[in-house]
Amino acid sequence: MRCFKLTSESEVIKLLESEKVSRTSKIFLFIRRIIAIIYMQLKILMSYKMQLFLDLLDVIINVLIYFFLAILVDPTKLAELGYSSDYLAFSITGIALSRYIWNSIARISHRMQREISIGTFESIVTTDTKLSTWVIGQSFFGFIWSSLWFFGTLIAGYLVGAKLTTNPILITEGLLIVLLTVIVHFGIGIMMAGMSILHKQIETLLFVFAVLIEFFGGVLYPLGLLNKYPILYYLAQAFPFTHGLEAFRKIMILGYPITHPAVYTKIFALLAFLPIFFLSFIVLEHYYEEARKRGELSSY
Amino acid sequence: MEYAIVTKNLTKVYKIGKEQEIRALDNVSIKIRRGEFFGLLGPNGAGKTTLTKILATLLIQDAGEAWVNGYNVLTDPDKVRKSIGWMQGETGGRALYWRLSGIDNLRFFAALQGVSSKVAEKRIWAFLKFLDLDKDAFRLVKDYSTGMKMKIMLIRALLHNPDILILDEPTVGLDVESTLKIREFLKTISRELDKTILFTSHNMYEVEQLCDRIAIINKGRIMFIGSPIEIKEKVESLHIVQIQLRSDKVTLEEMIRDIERSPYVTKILNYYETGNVYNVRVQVEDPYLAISDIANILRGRKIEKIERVLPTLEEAFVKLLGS
Repeated sequence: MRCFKLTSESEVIKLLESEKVSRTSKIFLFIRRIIAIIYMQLKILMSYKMQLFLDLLDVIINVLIYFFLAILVDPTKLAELGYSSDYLAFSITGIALSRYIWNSIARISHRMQREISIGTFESIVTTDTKLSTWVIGQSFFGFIWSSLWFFGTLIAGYLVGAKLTTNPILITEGLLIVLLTVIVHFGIGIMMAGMSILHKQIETLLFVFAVLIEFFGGVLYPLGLLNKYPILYYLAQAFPFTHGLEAFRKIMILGYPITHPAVYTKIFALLAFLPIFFLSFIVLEHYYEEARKRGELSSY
Repeated sequence: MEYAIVTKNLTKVYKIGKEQEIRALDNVSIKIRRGEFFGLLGPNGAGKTTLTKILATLLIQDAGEAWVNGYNVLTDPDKVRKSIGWMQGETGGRALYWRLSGIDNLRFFAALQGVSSKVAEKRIWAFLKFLDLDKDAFRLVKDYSTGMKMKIMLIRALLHNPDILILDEPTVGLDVESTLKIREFLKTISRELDKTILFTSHNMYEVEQLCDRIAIINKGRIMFIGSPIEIKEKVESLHIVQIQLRSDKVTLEEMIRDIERSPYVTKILNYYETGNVYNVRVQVEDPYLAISDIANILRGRKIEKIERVLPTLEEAFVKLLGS
């Protein structure tokens, strides 16, 4: 590590006189800031060793729970509803994707609340960095970190016998579906982060959202079961997660390609939710401005 | 552009519940010259932090306008942010990432400020070394003292070399040596680099030493703007007499009791002993009559000095707030 030997006041003054205007392009600055946010978050997270261990334990315990649960589930019933007879693969894909999405969304809001409560949020927004850049950086980190949980769950499930495709092309297609699902939910995460600036504690809302995607997304049961309850069935279609998970399962469990009607119709449905992503930045800006009016950017 | 900061009828009202409201700023108009070291003085809840937060674009005013470096805080907040370095000392060093080292905090904020890595690295080490923090650079901030955290926050405000520094109580919690060093440093960058510094503090001595001009704010209103000398002269009705007496055969308490006998003395302001000399500052009604009366009372004692003096900034401040 370089350590410049400048000690006197005049040398510090000279140094400040030396460079004033940054000639870096906006795109490079944006990328540098995103990397700085991800790196900072990673360093903070790495300082919580116990947290890392508990996350790993969480993956293992979850997979084991559904491994034993799968023994109890009647495989013919599952197959009748349009899936393979492997409930372990069914539940593992559901849990992996729903937790991935929820963790990523919750992380942005939690981080926002944390920054506000420790007082760093004000310091961030007085810098040259736009709030949207900071939120995108935090979201990237959230999705990158949560993806470890996501892949960990899928791999652990596969290792204990979940019948998931190993075809690299299908896996790539499955990941594309995940990416699209992430982008749509990215918008929801940003909106919730915006709300957390003003309303601070939005834990209940996040919890309700987690329960809703778990129920309406068909995380642990096939959505076909809801056919008897049309209202619930149509409500389920209002959640982008439902379509993302359906497409992901069709690829990973049944081995359908992306060109299969059962998959691409779900992709179109997901795309219909894409405006949420763009809308989210308007919502974020609205809450931020409102918080600036009310003096709510800090809560000492 | 002559002025670095201008506010015009700035007003901010906080709503508490449905009916109650607090007028934190009430038609505040100030003009701070470029390169000026400007102090904002006021009791707790006077509106100092609200004003600095509006100027730092953290808060939106309800009425009035404000310009920082020529940019309107409402319409050009991004340009205002590029122009300022903001530090809130009131938080006592809370506004840092405690699970990161001091240098990681600074590198992170340098990236947010858009300072190139090379320049940031040079500046960070220079500042750390200057403020005696270089040896602790890699320690986690959670293990820092309050003073060390405050220094990191000050460096953070300076990293991008802003034209204007908005420092809200930057020396709170610092030890004497660090306070002196920071004061000297701030004075130098204000003088040498023509930086404008808006500075709030409760430390009257510090404000008097550093600031070219001071604004006294109370209950959201600016009560006075001027140099420290002008403020002292402003309180014409505040007459102070200072007495110095050799301590031979008399205790300080006896001397104070004697002085209090004078009908012209309204208040003993302070007293202390230096070597074998007692010093007493008193507030009086008529300084001329008071001086001759006190001299008469102390006749036979060894009076070193008895004279009319200007009030200290603190005395003037209390008087102004009282009126």
